[in-house]
Amino acid sequence: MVKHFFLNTTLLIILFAILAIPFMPAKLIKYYSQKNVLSANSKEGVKIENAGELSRIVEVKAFPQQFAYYDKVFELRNFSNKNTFYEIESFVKNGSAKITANFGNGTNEILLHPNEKTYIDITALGTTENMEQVRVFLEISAKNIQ
Amino acid sequence: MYKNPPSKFKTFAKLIDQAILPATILLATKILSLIILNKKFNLDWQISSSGIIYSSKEDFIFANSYSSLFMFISITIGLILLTVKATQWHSTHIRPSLAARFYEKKLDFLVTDSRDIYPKSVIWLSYAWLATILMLIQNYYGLLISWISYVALFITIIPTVFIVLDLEKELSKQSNKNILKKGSVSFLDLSQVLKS
Repeated sequence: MVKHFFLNTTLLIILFAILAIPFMPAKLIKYYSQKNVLSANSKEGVKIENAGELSRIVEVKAFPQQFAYYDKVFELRNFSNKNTFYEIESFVKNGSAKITANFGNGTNEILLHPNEKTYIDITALGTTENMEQVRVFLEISAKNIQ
Repeated sequence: MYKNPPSKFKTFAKLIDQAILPATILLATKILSLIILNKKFNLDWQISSSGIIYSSKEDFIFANSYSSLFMFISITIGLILLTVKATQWHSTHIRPSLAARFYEKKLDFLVTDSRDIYPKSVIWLSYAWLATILMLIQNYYGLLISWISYVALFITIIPTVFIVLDLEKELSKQSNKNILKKGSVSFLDLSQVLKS
């Protein structure tokens, strides 16, 4: 009796699970809500391979929403064999936003020793009402120091 | 596993068996239609760890609505076929001329019996009602184009009525058979048989 009950319950659960399968994608389709409207493009990390390459630009796309907010961390690694001084500058294109980009220590410049890495975090608060999109750029320049 | 499995076990096993193919078809339709819609209409979307993310609510509603519509079209095709089988090609009440024509053209596999029709009906109607309820909920929250959910509701009701009427007809036939199998038939029983 108990065995039958468990067996039937298990089969019923399996049946409901199979019935639910076609409706799973509906749960996976989403859109950005008001609080999380900015998204990075495919260039998620920044790697400067040698000190000769002085700058890289990372583009962050903002979707049209008011009070856009974004917070993202990028990785920066010094692949040169010399001490390198890095500077970052960020600016917004095609909209208005207040951007803060720093190396986590509250400044926008940092000295990295060979093979050392650090993280850059970028925060953008902006209004993108009636805009197609807001583009946030992060420019990283590097120079070798003795 | 069992020499004589209990009847509920057999029923559930049969239902599971019948549910796999429709589930695969519906899932494939939903995913394929999403891919086609995203590509054809250049929607702004991306795949993340939490699923497919759209950049705007309009794109999300468009993709969600039309992919649900395509999925529901698949359900409708299945239901139409099932309703025709249940009402016209059912072995218990198929017209003899039609049955003869099927046999003549070697299409007799189209004639189906109750053991095949009813589990399939349960599965396809379950999918139809689940999809309709989900679409009505999404419509209520403004996540779906409203006419799609109303059309789905209308389409789901029609085969449900037909299949329930067919089931009723089948059950009354069964009860008449049981009455006639009895040793003595009362006038009340006879009037019931004649009425049906």
